[in-house]
Amino acid sequence: MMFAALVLERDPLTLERILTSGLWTWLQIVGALAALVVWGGGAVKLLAWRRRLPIFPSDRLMPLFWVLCLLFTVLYVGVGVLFLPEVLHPGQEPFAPWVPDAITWGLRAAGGLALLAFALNFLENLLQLRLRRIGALARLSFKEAIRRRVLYVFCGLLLIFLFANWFVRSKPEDQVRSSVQIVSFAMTILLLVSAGLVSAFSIPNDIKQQTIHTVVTKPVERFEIVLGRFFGYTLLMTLVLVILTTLSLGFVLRSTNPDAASESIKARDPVYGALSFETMNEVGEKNTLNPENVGREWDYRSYISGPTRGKPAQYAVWTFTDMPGKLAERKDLRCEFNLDIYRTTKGEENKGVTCTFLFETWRFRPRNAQVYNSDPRKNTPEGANALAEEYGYYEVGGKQITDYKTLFVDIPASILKNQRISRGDLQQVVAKHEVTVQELRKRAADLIQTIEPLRSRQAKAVLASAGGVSLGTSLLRRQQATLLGAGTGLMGGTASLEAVLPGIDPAQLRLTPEEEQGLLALEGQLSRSQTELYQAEEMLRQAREDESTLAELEKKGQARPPFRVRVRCDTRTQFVGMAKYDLYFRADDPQGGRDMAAFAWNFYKGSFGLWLRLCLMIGLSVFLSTELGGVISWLCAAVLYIGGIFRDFIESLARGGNVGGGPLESFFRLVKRENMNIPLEETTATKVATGSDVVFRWVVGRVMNLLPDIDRFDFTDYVANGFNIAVVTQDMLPAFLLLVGYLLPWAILAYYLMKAREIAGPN
Amino acid sequence: MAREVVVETRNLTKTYRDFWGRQKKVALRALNLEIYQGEVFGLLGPNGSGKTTSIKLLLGLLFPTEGEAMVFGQPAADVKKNERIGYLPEESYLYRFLNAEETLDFYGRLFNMTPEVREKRAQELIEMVGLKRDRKRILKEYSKGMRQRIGLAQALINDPDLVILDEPTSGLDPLGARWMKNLILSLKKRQKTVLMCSHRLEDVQDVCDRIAILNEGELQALGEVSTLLQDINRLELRASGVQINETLRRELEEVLRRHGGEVDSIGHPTTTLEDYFLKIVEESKARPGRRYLPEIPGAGAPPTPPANLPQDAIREKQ
Ligand SMILES: Nc1ncnc2c1ncn2[C@@H]1O[C@H](COP(=O)(O)OP(=O)(O)OP(=O)(O)O)[C@@H](O)[C@H]1O
Ligand SMILES: [Mg+2]
Repeated sequence: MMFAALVLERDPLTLERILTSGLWTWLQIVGALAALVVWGGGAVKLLAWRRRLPIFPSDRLMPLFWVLCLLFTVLYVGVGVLFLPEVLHPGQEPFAPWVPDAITWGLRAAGGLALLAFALNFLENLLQLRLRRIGALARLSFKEAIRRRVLYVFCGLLLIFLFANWFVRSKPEDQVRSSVQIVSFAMTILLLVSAGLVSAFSIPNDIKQQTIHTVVTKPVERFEIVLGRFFGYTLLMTLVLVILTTLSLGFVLRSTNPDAASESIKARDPVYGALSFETMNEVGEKNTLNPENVGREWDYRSYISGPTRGKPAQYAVWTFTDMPGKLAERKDLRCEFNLDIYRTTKGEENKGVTCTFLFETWRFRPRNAQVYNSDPRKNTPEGANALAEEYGYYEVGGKQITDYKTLFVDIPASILKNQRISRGDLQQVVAKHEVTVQELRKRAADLIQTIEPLRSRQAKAVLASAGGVSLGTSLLRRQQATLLGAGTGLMGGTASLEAVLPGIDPAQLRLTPEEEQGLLALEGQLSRSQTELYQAEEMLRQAREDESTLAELEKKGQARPPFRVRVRCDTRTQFVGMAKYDLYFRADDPQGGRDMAAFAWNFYKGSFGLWLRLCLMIGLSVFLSTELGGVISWLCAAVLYIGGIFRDFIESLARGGNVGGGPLESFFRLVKRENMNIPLEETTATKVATGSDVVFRWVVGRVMNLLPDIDRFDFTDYVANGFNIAVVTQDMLPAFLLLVGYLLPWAILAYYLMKAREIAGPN
Repeated sequence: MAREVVVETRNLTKTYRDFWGRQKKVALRALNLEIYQGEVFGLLGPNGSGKTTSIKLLLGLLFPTEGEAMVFGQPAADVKKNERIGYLPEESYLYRFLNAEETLDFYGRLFNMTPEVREKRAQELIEMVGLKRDRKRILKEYSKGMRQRIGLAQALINDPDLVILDEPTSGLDPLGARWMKNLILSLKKRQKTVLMCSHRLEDVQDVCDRIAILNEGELQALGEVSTLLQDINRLELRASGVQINETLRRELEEVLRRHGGEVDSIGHPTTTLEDYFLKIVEESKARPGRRYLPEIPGAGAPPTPPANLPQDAIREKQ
């Protein structure tokens, strides 16, 4: 099944995450690996192995090296001791509350020290490197590849262009996606394989043909040779990539018919929110909801049901903490979504499923919905805009949902003004409301002033005319009197009536029909203006409340509450499924007419992902080939790469997500023919089995860390589905940093291997 | 005048091993050598005697199994020393897809030379090695001799203080060989140190100040060429103005007999390095396990003509 939208199974990589938790994790992992290498080196040194060991720094730094080694070893031992209970009795509470923190910080510190010790010699040598030499070696690699006509391989891609049309789907909504995917796939395979081969064989060939002898006998650092190769081939592949990307883009654009182009030649810039679920009953009480899992698309989407009798309505709620400010300046704000329908009844297939979308800012109060809905302004675009800004609310009801198709609603962008209002503006709003309230109060008072004499005349007339009538009708009179509000004092009884109205002719007091009309109108006005006043007072109260909330938040340095989109399914017995990334706002302007340019630029940005993977492949191949032969290096790099693709899968196996525990535990169960699910009986043997599985998982975890996270370097889906690739805060820069973090330890290792290598020795 | 020691090896030993660390071949055994600044030093020996191995050890291309090799007072693995070294490999393995100019430019860059210096140096050297007409052709198209020439140019790009030449005359025509010899002599004149090995003994004899003879990885002889070739058991007498005749011969015989000598032959001396070389190799084959041990290894004193006989220097190895 193909999706018309981007399916992000993992959160996109953000710069923030890389620079905070990512950095710590990196330090911990690389540090642990470095410690292993240093310990290994120390052991070899103690055993006086034959091989030269370059990991030791110059004599000058040797004391520092030993101190570092001592420190990190002590730290690791300490952490190991703290961790021991967990190995022996997995899942038990730590014996002191500070233990987990101590372990984390211990690992970080130890990792940092181990890494420093490991890299000491490398860092020392770094100063010797000269750009001119690296450049010369890079040029050499570049020239070699060109003159050896390696690049002819890439003509193969032209063949793909010729025949790709066979694979491209004809449905307009799929066309761009499938052509982008085919082209990217072809480019990936072709470039990666050739980049790997060219770079894996470079240093081994140099050594085998002994051409390297004239190079290393010049004042060239060995690592300069490695870097020269790496940069040379990276440059080469960059060039090839740029050319092929341009050709591919041309192909994609040409092979797309206008229909498909208008549908998919885009680069949407999505603003994603966080997804949660809640229920709300008629009274407006909210409760969190555990969404249903209908057993489809395991774990990706969650489902809410349509209205069910006797149950509160279910809502999917997206919260957006930071909507870009520039969006508020637009006229419309486009909300795109891609919801999945899970039908429980077949008959209604054609009837469609409808949903209601409610957009609410933090200043919106549920009780305002009624006021909002009763406001006639909402039916004109300008009015809707004004209302959205005023109430922070917008409602789209009865939206028809279609499976696997990206739909959208445009909402007044001014709603964001409500959301993003500054404190100063809010104070102005308060002031404005204060004025309104004043005015309305005055108007009401004025009205009352005009109404009052008329009313009292009327009341008196009623009373006077009632004077001669029998008391039997006094009930009616009383009612009238009450109705007119002529005062409770007058209700004392008929006895006092004469006293109140001595000798007045009721006919004189009676209102003329015109006067009566006027009074009615005035009363209507009064009642309306009183409602308005009530509303205005309410608005003022809310604005003041918001203002103080904002002041409070500013004082605490906290962000304001998020902007919310609530979605409800309105069709009975149907389920609508959603995942976090299924609903988003377009940060780019959907009506800006720059879709084509944005798509093209995005296509190049997508190639940056491939560029990263190329760097990865070239780096791995070159670095490994400092020790291994050409074929072996290439294979190892390929294995690491492919392992990286299936990283998640391997990890889930290793993390004990499978039934029956780790390998030893499973083995134990197998031998004893025990059920895979029931907990094992606590014996020493089983303890050892489960305990050593913890160790096993740790080891597998370390091995896992050797695998690159390929998925992070692949932006094809973004391009194919018309989603913009972010440059700095997300996607590109973080992926680049991730790659640097991955390749750096390999580079240091390569530095040592190359240094230890006997160039003219038997290989 | 104490001359600077440019190359020094102490107990330098190299054992080739296979992947599993099993010993395959002892290519060099406990070599002790000192080469002084300004001399032309020849390393001789039959095929597979360890000449190239010694050179590679000095250049850091191989790591010693035991002992150490010092060049300019720095360990051989040190990269800095390469600033002052020029190396012509046994077979000139250069990048075949580059032309002569590009080759020299490339190596110039490796010395971190500025573009102008590179350019100038490349033109000079190409002129010097006589490849001016072929400077735009890629090395793949070069003949063996041409490659040897560009290899030499490459070795001299940094105007090195120590030039290491592994069989510099191989592949060169007689004219080329002569040219190479002259070049070495001119280097010597400029106080450069040259370490070379060659199978063309007449060349070695012509240019070298001192030689070492290796066989099976062991040092068999070491000393100044003139001294080594002196046959102390023989006496050479040169005279002019007389013709050889019976009377003269008899009288000479009588005089020599009175001094305990005997005339072997009267004629021109024919001892050459070639004879000497063959003798040494024959001897070392006949008496395996013998090796040359210098008197005061590593004393650092410049060589003086040894008072002892070269034969005496060959002693039983301890
Ligand atoms: N890479 C190697 N692996 C194993 N053995 C080697 C290797 N290189 C050289 N040897 C061995 O070491 C010994 C010395 O070799 P070396 O190349 O130093 O000889 P050479 O004196 O230069 O000979 P030639 O005059 O033929 O150049 C030889 O027996 C050779 O087989
Ligand atoms: Mg040789």
